[in-house]
This record gives sequence, structure tokens and C-alpha cells, in this order.
Amino acid sequence: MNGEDVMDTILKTIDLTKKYDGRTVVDNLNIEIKKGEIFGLLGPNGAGKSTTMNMICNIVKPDYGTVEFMGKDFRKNKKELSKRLGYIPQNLAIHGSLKAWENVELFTSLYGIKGEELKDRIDESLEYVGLSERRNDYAKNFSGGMKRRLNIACAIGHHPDLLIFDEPTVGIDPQSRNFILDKIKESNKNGTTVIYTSHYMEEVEAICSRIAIMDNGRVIASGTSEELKKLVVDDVESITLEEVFLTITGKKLRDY
Amino acid sequence: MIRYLIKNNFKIMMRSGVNILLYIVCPVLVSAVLISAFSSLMENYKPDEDFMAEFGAIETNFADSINEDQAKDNDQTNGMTNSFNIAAINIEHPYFVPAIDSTDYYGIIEVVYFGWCAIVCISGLLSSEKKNRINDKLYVSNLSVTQIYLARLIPLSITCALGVSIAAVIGMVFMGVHWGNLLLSAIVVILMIFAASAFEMMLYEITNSMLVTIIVSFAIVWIWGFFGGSFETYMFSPHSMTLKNIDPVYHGNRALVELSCMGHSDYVLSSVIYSVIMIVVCSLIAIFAGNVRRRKGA
Ligand SMILES: Nc1ncnc2c1ncn2[C@@H]1O[C@H](COP(=O)(O)OP(=O)(O)OP(=O)(O)O)[C@@H](O)[C@H]1O
Ligand SMILES: [Mg+2]
Repeated sequence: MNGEDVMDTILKTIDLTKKYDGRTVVDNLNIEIKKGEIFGLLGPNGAGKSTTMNMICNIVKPDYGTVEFMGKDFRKNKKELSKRLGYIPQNLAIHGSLKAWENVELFTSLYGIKGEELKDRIDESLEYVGLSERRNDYAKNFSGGMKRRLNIACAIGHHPDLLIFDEPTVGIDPQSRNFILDKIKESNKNGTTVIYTSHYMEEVEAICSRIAIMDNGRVIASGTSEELKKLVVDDVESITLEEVFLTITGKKLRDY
Repeated sequence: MIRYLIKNNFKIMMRSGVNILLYIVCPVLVSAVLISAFSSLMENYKPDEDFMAEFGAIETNFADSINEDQAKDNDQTNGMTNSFNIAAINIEHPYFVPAIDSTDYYGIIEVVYFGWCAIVCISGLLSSEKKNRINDKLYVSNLSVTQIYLARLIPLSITCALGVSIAAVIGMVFMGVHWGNLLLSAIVVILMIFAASAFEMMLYEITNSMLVTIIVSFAIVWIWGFFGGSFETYMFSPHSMTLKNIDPVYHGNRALVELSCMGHSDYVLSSVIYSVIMIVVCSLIAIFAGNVRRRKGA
């Protein structure tokens, strides 16, 4: 039913388009994310993944198209809906000269959480990313993996319904990476919908229920990893997602 | 709900070592140099006792020879009797010169002058925000440009006011600087610091570049200081009164110097009005510029 459809879909982009200096970076993008899933957005460098996420999160204004979040036009209902979204940007959006807990406090408080509740949420977020013991250390003294985890802690304190991860595992060791992936799965089990962008195929294959492959600003294939493999060969066991990706997007280097 | 944002921005500013340089090292060094350079010159304008005794008699005679600029500089004392300390009158400079020695003059003026370089205090925060794209996350949580502006301006103003207060206390204790009317001086200084913060934040919102903002701010503040008596005492500087009157640093300097030596000054009011106008106008322009940029980007 139509009504059920709306309930089922947590986020939907409609003809989302962005041009930079006359070059179309995101081109009429239509994706739909279902409630409760982990949706993977794959694409080579410069495919437009971050730009898409930035448009979804109201950081960048689309030239054309809309984002529907919770069944409503997001831009027109920012005040009400912003609270329900958590965004972990590709860059490390933390202040080096603040302690770990102060960084979490800063970003969690922006959602109107204060006092004792804020303190609890800070503890909970730091615990979640395994940084409780380092809460009083300055972020600038953290290792790459710890900074990544802190970046996540800064986006979850307000208990969002939808979490957007933009390449949360770049430049970190396998331990931190596995930790983060486990945490994403854990959040998802607790009912949070996740959008996950990456160009690490194994990660996406391991955690995502549905995957879209994006290139030159367009989605060129989407489905479960099995469905994507079937686009290339019949025997899904004989091919990795990486091979599918390279077959679909081509082997040309992306130098723009 | 920007209370915590203000608090953390304040922490970032307080943790930057630049404050100590700006509010303690620089004013002490510069005022020490200027105090010693000008002390003998300013000594010349100490009251001559014989002359003071005859002051009443000759007042009318030299009034005619006062040029117009000098007269304006002097306007608040013209016609007043010597109920307060009209001290440094000298035949060669037959217009009002407050009885202030170089220690008080430069001890006060340099502390305030470095207060005008407020932007330096927030440079660490602004570059961290830019480098780490903190604003993007503030926008995701639906903070408005006005909220983000206030969350910078308020802690910046407080940091600077604190820095200037500490510098002033150091001057009072270790150099023996007299501020005269402490309450009125504090009002003048604090409003001036807020105006400086708003003015420089406006430049940053317009240029969106820390380097350009610092260069432009320092250049403008230097010019204001040059005409306003921050380097050469305003009493003896040859600059036109028009230039001085449009100079916020001049109004503040003159108010503070007169408060120090006489305990009151007509320039308190003009300085306060000037500061309030600057705070309001600069903030409006800054928020407008920020909104234009935000709308272009998002
Ligand atoms: N603010 C901007 N101004 C001009 N061009 C931009 C801007 N932001 C992104 N682009 C361009 O848009 C294209 C898409 O960038 P985007 O960051 O969305 O790609 P991505 O898929 O996230 O890549 P990566 O995997 O490297 O993170 C790139 O070619 C980039 O150079
Ligand atoms: Mg990206």
C-alpha cells in the first residue's frame, strides 16, 4: 500500500542534482532507503558520494531535486527533522584543543540536550566508541583510529533514527575498522537505519543489506551484493564485489 | 541551545597561548618602550607653579591664539574653572593638556590598543573550524548563521575583556598605572573590546580568510591608533580634528586618559555610543554576509 510505502521508506532523493563550475557532480539521483536497513553507497573517487550526503544533510544546496526524510521535504522541515539525523562526515569534524568529552558535549548539545541528560549521553557515546578511558585527553593527541571513533561519538549522542557514515574507516588499522563495523551493525540491530559510503568492497559486502554503485554522479547499479554479482556473471561464487565494481565502473583512473 | 557551544569555543580560545602574548607581553613591552621614549617630553608639560598661579589672569589672553583644532581638542575645558586639575598648561602650547604622565598615558593606551587586536584570540578557533569543517556539522544540526556568529562573538568578547583586565591589573600593580574612575573606565574599555570583536568578526565573515582578516584588521587598527593617540599622544599630535572624531580609538583613548587624570570625561559618552553603534552595525553586516555565503553553499 501507498501509506505503508511511505512508512517503510525513511529517506528518498528525488532527481537530486548538483553542478560545480558547470560540471554535473550529482546527476538526477534517485535513491530510496528503507527503514532499518544498512544501505551502502559505493563509488570511485569523485563519484559524488560525499556531495550526495552533503545535500541530504542540508550542508550543500542542490541545484535541483528534493530530499524526503520521514515522508516530508527535509529542507522545509529542517527544524523538526534535523534532530533525527546523525552525520559522520568524511573529514574529522573535531576540535583538537578540546578533550574527547568536550567534543562530544559540543555536538550533542546542539540538539537541545542539556544538564544531567547531556552528561549521560556523553558517557554513553564515549563508551559506545570505546573511548571512556581517554575522555579527558585532548583530541589532538589521539591516533587516527581514535579520532575516527571520536568523530562517530560526536554524531550519535542525540539518538538519531538515521545515521549517515561517509567513509568512516579511511586510514585506520584493521582493529579500529572492525570495531567500527561491529558498532554500525550493533546500532542497526537497535533500530537505527544506516547509510554507509565507502570504496572498500569487503566492508560494504559484510554489513550492507543493499548496495548502490555510483559513478559520475549517477547510480549505475543497485541491489543486494548477490544481485549485483548476477549482473556480471551467473555463478555468484566465482566473483568478488570488487570485480563487479571494476566491471561496472571500468578501470579508468578518476583524476578529476 | 548554544550555551555549550559558547562554553567550548571559550575553552578553545582560552587554551591558545596567543592570549598571553597579546594581552601581557605586547602591551608591557610596547608601553615600556613608549613610556621611556616619551617620559622626558611629557615631563615638559608638567605644571609650572608660577604659571598656574597666574592662570586665571592670562586665560583670556591666549584663548585668541588657539587654533580651531586645538580649541576643539580643548573644548571641554574651555570656560571651566580650575575646579579640577588643569595642570599641564604651557605658554608654547596654550591649550588644554591633561596632567598625565607617560606611565599612565601609555600604560592605559597600550593595554587598550592590543585589546583592539581581538581577532588574534579567535584565530585558533576559526582555523580549527575551517580545517575540520565544523560548520558543516553545525548546519546539519540546524544551527543558524546568527547562532554560529553569536557563539563566536560572545566568547571572543569575554576572552578579550578578561585579557585586557589582566593586562590592566598587571599595569596597575607593577607599573603604577592609574586608571582614575575604574567603573567608567571598565565600561568604556569593555564596550570598546566588544566593538573591536564585532568589527573584526565582520571582516572575517566578509573575507572568509583568517590571513586577510588579520592583515586588514591590524592595518585599520594601526591607522586608528596612529590618529587616535596610541603611539604619539593625541594631545600633541598634529592630525586634524575631523580625523580624530571619526576614530573610535581616539574617543576611547581620550575618555580613558581624561578619566585617569580628571576622573570624568565628555568622551565617555561618545565612546560608549560609538562602541554600541559598531557592535550593532558590524554584527548585522556579519550575519548578513554569513547568510549570503551559507545560501550560496547550501
Ligand atoms: N565545493 C566544491 N567545489 C567544486 N567542486 C567540488 C566541490 N565539492 C566536490 N567537488 C567535486 O565534485 C566531485 C565529487 O566529489 P565528492 O566529494 O562528492 O566525491 P566522492 O564520491 O565523495 O569521492 P571520494 O571517494 O574521493 O570521497 C569531485 O570531482 C570534486 O572535485
Ligand atoms: Mg567522499
